[in-house]
Amino acid sequence: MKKFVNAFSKIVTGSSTVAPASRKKLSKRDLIRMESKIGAKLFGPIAKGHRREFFCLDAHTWIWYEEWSDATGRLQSVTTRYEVQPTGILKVQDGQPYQLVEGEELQNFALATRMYREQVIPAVYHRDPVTGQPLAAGTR
Amino acid sequence: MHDTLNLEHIQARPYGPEAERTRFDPEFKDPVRLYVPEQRQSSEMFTRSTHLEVVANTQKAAELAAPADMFMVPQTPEENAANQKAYVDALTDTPANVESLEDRRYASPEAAINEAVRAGLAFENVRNAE
Repeated sequence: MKKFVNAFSKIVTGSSTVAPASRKKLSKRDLIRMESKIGAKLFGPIAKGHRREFFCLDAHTWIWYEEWSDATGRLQSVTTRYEVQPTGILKVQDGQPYQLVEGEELQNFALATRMYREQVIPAVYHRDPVTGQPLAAGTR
Repeated sequence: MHDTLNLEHIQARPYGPEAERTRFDPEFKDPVRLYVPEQRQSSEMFTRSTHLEVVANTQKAAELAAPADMFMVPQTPEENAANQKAYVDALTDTPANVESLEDRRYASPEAAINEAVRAGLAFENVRNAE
Protein backbone atom coordinates (compact mmCIF):
# COMPACT_ATOMS: atom_id res chain seq x y z
CA MET A 1 0.00 0.00 0.00
CA LYS A 2 2.83 2.36 0.85
CA LYS A 3 4.26 1.82 -2.61
CA PHE A 4 0.86 2.54 -4.08
CA VAL A 5 0.40 5.79 -2.20
CA ASN A 6 3.92 6.90 -3.01
CA ALA A 7 3.39 6.10 -6.67
CA PHE A 8 0.06 7.88 -6.63
CA SER A 9 1.54 10.90 -4.90
CA LYS A 10 4.37 10.98 -7.38
CA ILE A 11 1.93 10.97 -10.26
CA VAL A 12 -0.21 13.80 -8.92
CA THR A 13 2.34 15.96 -7.14
CA GLY A 14 5.53 15.12 -8.94
CA SER A 15 7.17 13.88 -5.76
CA SER A 16 6.81 11.06 -3.33
CA THR A 17 4.79 11.48 -0.17
CA VAL A 18 6.54 13.62 2.37
CA ALA A 19 8.08 11.87 5.35
CA PRO A 20 6.55 12.95 8.66
CA ALA A 21 9.81 14.44 9.91
CA SER A 22 10.27 16.75 6.96
CA ARG A 23 6.55 17.52 6.75
CA LYS A 24 6.77 19.41 10.02
CA LYS A 25 8.87 22.03 8.28
CA LEU A 26 6.24 22.75 5.67
CA SER A 27 4.26 25.95 5.99
CA LYS A 28 0.54 26.15 5.47
CA ARG A 29 1.26 27.58 2.04
CA ASP A 30 3.44 24.61 1.14
CA LEU A 31 0.78 22.18 2.28
CA ILE A 32 -1.95 23.93 0.31
CA ARG A 33 0.27 23.96 -2.76
CA MET A 34 0.61 20.18 -2.46
CA GLU A 35 -3.13 19.85 -1.95
CA SER A 36 -3.84 21.97 -4.99
CA LYS A 37 -1.80 19.74 -7.26
CA ILE A 38 -4.13 16.91 -6.37
CA GLY A 39 -7.21 19.12 -6.42
CA ALA A 40 -6.46 20.36 -9.92
CA LYS A 41 -6.64 16.82 -11.24
CA LEU A 42 -10.04 15.98 -9.79
CA PHE A 43 -11.86 17.24 -12.83
CA GLY A 44 -10.13 15.28 -15.54
CA PRO A 45 -7.44 16.30 -18.00
CA ILE A 46 -6.43 19.95 -18.05
CA ALA A 47 -6.57 21.47 -21.51
CA LYS A 48 -3.23 22.14 -23.15
CA GLY A 49 -1.98 25.58 -22.28
CA HIS A 50 -4.23 25.83 -19.22
CA ARG A 51 -3.19 25.86 -15.62
CA ARG A 52 -5.62 25.01 -12.88
CA GLU A 53 -5.59 25.22 -9.10
CA PHE A 54 -8.28 23.91 -6.80
CA PHE A 55 -7.84 23.95 -3.06
CA CYS A 56 -9.49 24.35 0.31
CA LEU A 57 -8.30 27.66 1.72
CA ASP A 58 -9.88 27.32 5.15
CA ALA A 59 -12.85 25.63 6.75
CA HIS A 60 -15.30 27.78 4.82
CA THR A 61 -13.53 28.74 1.60
CA TRP A 62 -12.58 26.88 -1.57
CA ILE A 63 -10.65 28.37 -4.49
CA TRP A 64 -10.78 27.48 -8.17
CA TYR A 65 -8.23 29.19 -10.42
CA GLU A 66 -7.92 28.70 -14.15
CA GLU A 67 -5.30 30.35 -16.36
CA TRP A 68 -4.78 30.20 -20.11
CA SER A 69 -3.53 32.20 -23.06
CA ASP A 70 -6.07 33.60 -25.49
CA ALA A 71 -5.76 33.68 -29.27
CA THR A 72 -3.50 36.72 -29.09
CA GLY A 73 -1.21 35.08 -26.57
CA ARG A 74 -2.44 37.27 -23.76
CA LEU A 75 -2.64 35.59 -20.39
CA GLN A 76 -6.19 35.24 -19.07
CA SER A 77 -7.34 33.93 -15.73
CA VAL A 78 -10.44 33.46 -13.65
CA THR A 79 -10.52 33.00 -9.91
CA THR A 80 -13.66 31.61 -8.33
CA ARG A 81 -14.17 31.57 -4.60
CA TYR A 82 -16.74 29.32 -2.97
CA GLU A 83 -17.84 30.31 0.51
CA VAL A 84 -19.43 27.45 2.42
CA GLN A 85 -22.01 28.29 5.05
CA PRO A 86 -24.39 25.87 6.77
CA THR A 87 -27.30 27.56 5.03
CA GLY A 88 -25.84 27.61 1.52
CA ILE A 89 -22.79 27.96 -0.70
CA LEU A 90 -21.95 31.28 -2.27
CA LYS A 91 -19.82 31.69 -5.38
CA VAL A 92 -17.98 34.86 -6.26
CA GLN A 93 -15.81 35.62 -9.24
CA ASP A 94 -13.60 38.62 -9.77
CA GLY A 95 -15.63 41.76 -9.39
CA GLN A 96 -18.98 40.07 -9.71
CA PRO A 97 -21.78 39.79 -7.18
CA TYR A 98 -22.20 36.70 -5.09
CA GLN A 99 -24.30 33.87 -6.53
CA LEU A 100 -25.96 31.08 -4.64
CA VAL A 101 -24.72 27.69 -5.89
CA GLU A 102 -27.66 25.47 -6.74
CA GLY A 103 -28.74 22.43 -8.72
CA GLU A 104 -26.20 20.41 -10.67
CA GLU A 105 -23.39 22.77 -9.80
CA LEU A 106 -24.08 22.25 -6.09
CA GLN A 107 -24.04 18.47 -6.57
CA ASN A 108 -20.76 18.64 -8.45
CA PHE A 109 -19.14 21.01 -5.99
CA ALA A 110 -20.08 18.84 -3.02
CA LEU A 111 -18.76 15.75 -4.78
CA ALA A 112 -15.54 17.61 -5.58
CA THR A 113 -15.02 18.50 -1.92
CA ARG A 114 -15.57 14.87 -0.98
CA MET A 115 -13.12 13.57 -3.58
CA TYR A 116 -10.62 16.22 -2.55
CA ARG A 117 -10.90 15.14 1.08
CA GLU A 118 -10.63 11.46 0.23
CA GLN A 119 -7.54 11.96 -1.92
CA VAL A 120 -5.67 14.79 -0.24
CA ILE A 121 -5.86 13.82 3.43
CA PRO A 122 -4.21 10.40 3.00
CA ALA A 123 -1.66 11.60 0.42
CA VAL A 124 -0.57 14.84 2.07
CA TYR A 125 -1.36 14.36 5.76
CA HIS A 126 -1.16 10.55 6.04
CA ARG A 127 -4.46 10.48 7.86
CA ASP A 128 -7.71 8.64 7.39
CA PRO A 129 -10.05 10.97 5.49
CA VAL A 130 -13.07 9.91 7.54
CA THR A 131 -11.73 9.71 11.07
CA GLY A 132 -8.77 12.07 10.74
CA GLN A 133 -6.63 9.58 12.62
CA PRO A 134 -3.05 8.95 11.47
CA LEU A 135 -2.75 6.06 9.07
CA ALA A 136 -0.93 3.04 10.33
CA ALA A 137 2.67 2.95 9.12
CA GLY A 138 1.98 -0.07 6.95
CA THR A 139 -0.77 1.70 5.03
CA ARG A 140 1.13 4.88 4.18
CA MET B 1 -32.08 35.41 1.71
CA HIS B 2 -30.93 37.61 -1.14
CA ASP B 3 -33.20 40.42 -0.06
CA THR B 4 -32.20 40.16 3.56
CA LEU B 5 -28.47 40.08 2.92
CA ASN B 6 -28.61 42.25 -0.18
CA LEU B 7 -26.10 39.90 -1.78
CA GLU B 8 -26.34 41.35 -5.24
CA HIS B 9 -24.65 44.49 -4.01
CA ILE B 10 -21.71 42.75 -2.43
CA GLN B 11 -18.68 42.88 -4.69
CA ALA B 12 -15.75 40.52 -4.77
CA ARG B 13 -13.08 41.59 -2.39
CA PRO B 14 -9.42 41.77 -3.35
CA TYR B 15 -7.46 38.62 -3.00
CA GLY B 16 -5.30 39.44 -0.04
CA PRO B 17 -2.28 41.39 1.06
CA GLU B 18 -0.47 40.77 -2.19
CA ALA B 19 -3.24 42.21 -4.29
CA GLU B 20 -1.24 45.41 -4.49
CA ARG B 21 1.67 43.61 -6.12
CA THR B 22 -0.45 41.87 -8.69
CA ARG B 23 -1.99 45.12 -9.82
CA PHE B 24 1.43 46.19 -11.02
CA ASP B 25 2.62 42.77 -12.13
CA PRO B 26 -0.09 41.18 -14.26
CA GLU B 27 2.13 38.21 -15.03
CA PHE B 28 2.29 37.26 -11.39
CA LYS B 29 -0.25 34.50 -11.06
CA ASP B 30 0.03 32.29 -8.04
CA PRO B 31 -3.30 31.88 -6.30
CA VAL B 32 -1.87 29.89 -3.42
CA ARG B 33 0.70 32.56 -2.67
CA LEU B 34 -1.96 35.17 -3.18
CA TYR B 35 -4.43 33.64 -0.77
CA VAL B 36 -2.12 32.13 1.78
CA PRO B 37 0.42 34.69 2.87
CA GLU B 38 3.03 33.46 5.29
CA GLN B 39 2.69 34.56 8.89
CA ARG B 40 -0.97 35.40 8.55
CA GLN B 41 -4.06 33.73 9.82
CA SER B 42 -6.83 32.91 7.42
CA SER B 43 -9.19 35.18 9.34
CA GLU B 44 -7.25 38.10 7.93
CA MET B 45 -7.96 37.14 4.35
CA PHE B 46 -10.16 39.26 2.16
CA THR B 47 -10.22 42.13 4.60
CA ARG B 48 -8.06 44.67 2.80
CA SER B 49 -10.69 46.14 0.63
CA THR B 50 -10.31 49.55 -0.86
CA HIS B 51 -12.47 51.31 -3.33
CA LEU B 52 -9.69 51.40 -5.90
CA GLU B 53 -9.07 47.68 -5.67
CA VAL B 54 -12.74 46.91 -6.10
CA VAL B 55 -12.79 49.11 -9.18
CA ALA B 56 -9.67 47.39 -10.55
CA ASN B 57 -11.20 43.99 -10.00
CA THR B 58 -14.43 45.03 -11.65
CA GLN B 59 -12.58 46.33 -14.70
CA LYS B 60 -10.53 43.15 -14.90
CA ALA B 61 -13.65 41.03 -14.69
CA ALA B 62 -15.23 42.92 -17.52
CA GLU B 63 -12.32 41.93 -19.74
CA LEU B 64 -12.60 38.26 -19.04
CA ALA B 65 -14.94 35.74 -20.50
CA ALA B 66 -15.66 34.11 -17.19
CA PRO B 67 -17.30 30.70 -17.40
CA ALA B 68 -20.58 30.85 -15.55
CA ASP B 69 -20.47 27.49 -13.89
CA MET B 70 -17.06 26.09 -13.18
CA PHE B 71 -18.38 22.84 -11.91
CA MET B 72 -20.60 22.38 -14.91
CA VAL B 73 -17.47 21.75 -16.98
CA PRO B 74 -17.95 18.04 -17.36
CA GLN B 75 -15.85 15.02 -17.82
CA THR B 76 -17.18 12.23 -19.92
CA PRO B 77 -18.64 9.29 -18.00
CA GLU B 78 -15.65 7.25 -19.11
CA GLU B 79 -13.21 9.83 -17.74
CA ASN B 80 -15.16 10.00 -14.50
CA ALA B 81 -15.06 6.27 -14.12
CA ALA B 82 -11.34 6.09 -14.93
CA ASN B 83 -10.46 8.86 -12.47
CA GLN B 84 -12.60 7.32 -9.80
CA LYS B 85 -10.99 3.93 -10.26
CA ALA B 86 -7.46 5.33 -10.30
CA TYR B 87 -7.68 7.09 -7.00
CA VAL B 88 -9.66 4.36 -5.32
CA ASP B 89 -7.10 1.83 -6.48
CA ALA B 90 -4.32 3.95 -5.08
CA LEU B 91 -5.94 4.59 -1.73
CA THR B 92 -7.72 1.37 -0.90
CA ASP B 93 -6.48 -1.42 -3.13
CA THR B 94 -10.09 -2.57 -3.19
CA PRO B 95 -11.79 -0.97 -6.17
CA ALA B 96 -14.62 -3.46 -6.32
CA ASN B 97 -16.47 -2.29 -3.24
CA VAL B 98 -16.66 1.39 -4.03
CA GLU B 99 -19.80 3.14 -5.09
CA SER B 100 -19.84 4.82 -8.48
CA LEU B 101 -19.93 8.57 -8.91
CA GLU B 102 -23.55 8.30 -9.95
CA ASP B 103 -24.34 6.60 -6.65
CA ARG B 104 -22.74 9.45 -4.80
CA ARG B 105 -25.35 12.02 -5.77
CA TYR B 106 -26.82 13.83 -2.81
CA ALA B 107 -30.45 13.38 -1.93
CA SER B 108 -31.02 17.04 -1.16
CA PRO B 109 -29.28 20.42 -1.36
CA GLU B 110 -28.86 20.25 2.40
CA ALA B 111 -26.98 16.97 2.10
CA ALA B 112 -24.67 18.46 -0.52
CA ILE B 113 -24.02 21.52 1.63
CA ASN B 114 -23.29 19.31 4.62
CA GLU B 115 -20.73 17.39 2.58
CA ALA B 116 -18.87 20.61 1.77
CA VAL B 117 -19.08 21.74 5.40
CA ARG B 118 -17.66 18.40 6.56
CA ALA B 119 -14.81 18.59 4.06
CA GLY B 120 -13.83 22.09 5.14
CA LEU B 121 -13.86 21.17 8.80
CA ALA B 122 -11.82 18.05 8.08
CA PHE B 123 -9.08 20.19 6.56
CA GLU B 124 -9.16 22.64 9.41
CA ASN B 125 -8.65 19.73 11.78
CA VAL B 126 -5.83 18.00 9.90
CA ARG B 127 -3.95 21.27 9.35
CA ASN B 128 -4.26 22.16 13.01
CA ALA B 129 -2.96 18.72 13.87
CA GLU B 130 0.21 19.24 11.79
